[in-house]
Amino acid sequence: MSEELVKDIVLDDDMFELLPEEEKNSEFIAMESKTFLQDAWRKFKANKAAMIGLSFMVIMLIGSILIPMFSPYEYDAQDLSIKNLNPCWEHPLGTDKLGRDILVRIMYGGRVSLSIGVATAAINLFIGIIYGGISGYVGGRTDMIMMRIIDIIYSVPSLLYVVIILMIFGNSLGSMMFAICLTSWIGMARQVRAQVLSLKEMEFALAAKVIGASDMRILMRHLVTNAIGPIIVTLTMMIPSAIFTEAYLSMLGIGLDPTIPSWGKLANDVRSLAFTYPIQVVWPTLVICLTVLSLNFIGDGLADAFDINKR
Amino acid sequence: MIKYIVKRILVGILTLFILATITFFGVHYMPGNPFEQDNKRMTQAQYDSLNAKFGLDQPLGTQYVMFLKSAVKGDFGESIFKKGRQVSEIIKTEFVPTAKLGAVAFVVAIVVGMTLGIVGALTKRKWLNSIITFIASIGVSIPSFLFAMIMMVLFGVTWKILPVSGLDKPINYVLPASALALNNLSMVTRLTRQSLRDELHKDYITLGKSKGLSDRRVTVKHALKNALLPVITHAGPMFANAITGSLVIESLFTIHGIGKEFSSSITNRDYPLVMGLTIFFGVLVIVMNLVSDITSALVDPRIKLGK
Repeated sequence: MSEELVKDIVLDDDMFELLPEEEKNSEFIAMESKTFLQDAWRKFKANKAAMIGLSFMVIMLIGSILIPMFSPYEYDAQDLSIKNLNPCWEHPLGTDKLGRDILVRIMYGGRVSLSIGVATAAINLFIGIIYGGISGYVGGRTDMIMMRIIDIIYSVPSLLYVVIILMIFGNSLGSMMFAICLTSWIGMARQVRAQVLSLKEMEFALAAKVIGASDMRILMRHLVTNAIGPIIVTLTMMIPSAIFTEAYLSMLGIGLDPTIPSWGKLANDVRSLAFTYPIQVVWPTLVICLTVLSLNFIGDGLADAFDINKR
Repeated sequence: MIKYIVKRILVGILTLFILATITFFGVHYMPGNPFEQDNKRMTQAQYDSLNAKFGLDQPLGTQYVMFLKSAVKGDFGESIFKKGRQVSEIIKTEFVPTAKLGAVAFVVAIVVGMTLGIVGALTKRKWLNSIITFIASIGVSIPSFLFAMIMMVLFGVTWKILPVSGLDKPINYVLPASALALNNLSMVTRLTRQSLRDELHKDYITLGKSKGLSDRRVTVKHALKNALLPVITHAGPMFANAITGSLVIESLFTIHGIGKEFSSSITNRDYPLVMGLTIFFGVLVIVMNLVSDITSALVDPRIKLGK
């Protein structure tokens, strides 16, 4: 009897309706799959200080590229008839003692200082990965000797070396970068070594070794790429310290060539004006402070995003 | 322990030797000559005799050996620029104002930094904690000389309430010492707050509380004692920081100390003075690092030395 009933039911298309798209996976419990970097970016975005820092840096970068290009004033164009102007419509930050537009000079100085920061960070990354990678990966006596060398270099304030280097090689942009790199690579080397030391004991490193990967490949492809988080954080922190060192050396009077208006140079030039035109002292100091602060905030934000235990 | 100390001292001496060597050859390959300014007015004979007087006519190797021999005895020869004055004597006299300023800055950094750190770790008030975090991150990020310039413009020029040069009266210390203290102050704040927070979550604190000790007693007698160790460990690097800071701070505030001497000796290419000062700074920093390492090992039995 029941079979006959079933036979009578006609399955019609009208009896069904399509499941709405959003309900298809409603039973599926998992987060959207995200890569390491996407996840870090999500956490980074939630950090207010880091986002403010990032926005400031983006503005500074765009400003220092575009403003000197499109401004009607050259960074070194002197006009003594308009010297020491206060901020006004034509010169948003005023003019200096030779009638040069301060906004254009600061933005041009941004090119110099930021490129010093980025270039030294890149050189440090290169040296640090090689030195720290070898020291951590080879281990044993090699590691001990390489670390003792670092200890010896590190135990003397780097500025003493930097001063000597700058005086021997003159005050060009290149020798400034060389002098800053001379000791600042140590931080990166230590970071890379510490990461490699712990990562090389992990199973994936062993697995790579078992299937016959060369030491170089294991180090570069597996260990260094897995340490990318701490490396990026260290790298970010190196840019402000390079900018700081450059400014510091300029304040000591052994900075860059006088014709190159780096931020440190600009700050040094206005030192004596504190009593006569205090407003001129404010601009370069403010720009350096804000930049260094922003980069530090970005670094802290990245450290949180990559979940690295801080000090 | 003794083995560790001996080893550290030997490494320190090696470091100094390397620093002295680098400085010596570095200074000698610098372009320019100490007698350049006088060159126009000097006859060749005078020039030669001056060079002979300072040993600059000898081969570099001989000069280096001579330099090392006398440097061991603390003798760096006579300053070229300040005629007739011994380098060691210049260092001795110029170090007094620097040491005074440095000591004031150091005390300020430790006292204020620890207070802020302790308050930050104990307070339940969010706004207070945010202020302390703000001070700590500003102080770590802002270079001390830029902070000094801002302070000069604000307090010295705009409001005219603090003097901006010299060290004659106690009030003169306010601006340079606070500028010099800033970085270390926030360092101490961070260290104290972090380690005190960590200590307060440990089992022995729960034990102390459960056996009926007051909160204050547990915090002050037990947690704080352990929380201050990182500050001692970092005293060496903080000292180095203060030294490099003082180089620029002194020239900003026109204080005639050793930092100002260093920058002027570089501009004047006063070889003996540059070398003497570099080695002097090196010795100071190395000794301070050693002292802070050994002290923290003596105070904290958990640190095992000479592993």
